[in-house]
Amino acid sequence: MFTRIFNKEPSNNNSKLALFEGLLKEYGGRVYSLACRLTGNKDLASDLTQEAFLRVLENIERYDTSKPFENWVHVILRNLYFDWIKRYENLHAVSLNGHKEGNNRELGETLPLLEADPLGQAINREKQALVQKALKALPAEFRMPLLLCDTEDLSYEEIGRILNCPIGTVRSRIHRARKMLKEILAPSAGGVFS
Amino acid sequence: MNCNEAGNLLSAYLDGDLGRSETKDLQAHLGECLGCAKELEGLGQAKSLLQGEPSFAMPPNLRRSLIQEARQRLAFRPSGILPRFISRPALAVARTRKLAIAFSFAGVVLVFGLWLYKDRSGQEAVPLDLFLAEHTRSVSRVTLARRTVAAASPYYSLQAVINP
Repeated sequence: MFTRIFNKEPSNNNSKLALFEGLLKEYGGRVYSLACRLTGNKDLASDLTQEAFLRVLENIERYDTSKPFENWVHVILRNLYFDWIKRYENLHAVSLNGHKEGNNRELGETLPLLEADPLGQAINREKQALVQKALKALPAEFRMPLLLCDTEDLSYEEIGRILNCPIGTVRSRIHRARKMLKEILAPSAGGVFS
Repeated sequence: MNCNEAGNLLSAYLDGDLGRSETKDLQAHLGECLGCAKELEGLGQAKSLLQGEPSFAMPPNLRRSLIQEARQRLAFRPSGILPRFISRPALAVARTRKLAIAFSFAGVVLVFGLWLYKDRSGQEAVPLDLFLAEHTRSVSRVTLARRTVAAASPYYSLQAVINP
C-alpha cells in the first residue's frame, strides 16, 4: 500500500505530510510496541519512537521505495536503540546484560489487557510482567533479533539486513536468546508455560 | 547428527529457517532423542509466549505531537533544491522569528550608518584646488619658520664662523 504511495514521489509538502501521517498510523503502534519491549520502559519507548519517526520525516525523499518500510524504520530504531545503550552505559557504567531497573514508568505497571474477566486479566498481567522481566535480563544484542523474529515475524535474512550481520550470527543469537529466555522463565514455568 | 549439533538447529527449525536436508536430519534425530525433543518443546513455548504478547498502543499524545512537529518542519521545508539545513529544526518557527528580528535590526543600523556617512561627507567636501593651495601655504610657512629658528641658533652661528 505504502510502496504505491511512495512511488508517486511526493512532490509537495502536503503530500509528504499525508504520507507521514499514513505511515504513523500504519506503523506507529508497531514501532512503539517494539521500542517498549526493547527498553522495558514506556517513556524511553516514546522518546525512541518519536526520534525514529522524525528521522523518517527528515529522510523521506531518500527512502528506497523498493524496500519495505518496516525494514527501514527497524534499521533507524536499531541505531537509536544501540546509541541509547551506549549513552546509558557511559552514564551508569553498567554492562549490556540487561538494563538496570529504571525509575521511570516500567512496563509492568501499564501492560495492555487482553482478558475481559478480572481473574484472566490478573493472570495475563502477571505472565506479561514475567516475560518482560525475562526480556530485560537478556543482553541487548540478543534481545533485538529475538524480538524481530518472534514479535515482528521477520525472517532471519531480514533480521540480518536490519542488524547488519550474517545469517549465521542471527541464527545463533536467536537460539541463545530463546534458550536464555526459557531458562529465566523456567522457575515460574508452572504459571508461564501453560 | 548428535545432540550438540541438533541443539544448535532447534530454534532455526522452529522458525522454519532450515534447509531441506538439515530439517530431515534433525527430524530423524528428534524421533530418537527424548532430551532434544523436550528442549524443542521448551523453546517452542518461549517463542509462543513472545508471539502471544499483546502489542502496546501508541499514546495518542505522542502521535499528536509527532504530527504537529511534522507540520511545523514541513512548513519550513521548501520542496525541491534548497539546501537540507533549511528544513532542520534550527529554523523552526520561534528561531526564524528571532532571526528575522535580528536581520531587521541590522538592516536599520546599516541604513542609518550610510545616511550619516553621506550627510557628513557632503558637508565637509573641499574643492581640490583650494586644498592644494592651503597645503602649499602651510608647507612654505613651516620652511620659513625652520630657517628662522636655524639662523637664530648658536650652532648655526658657529658653523657660519668656521665655514663662512
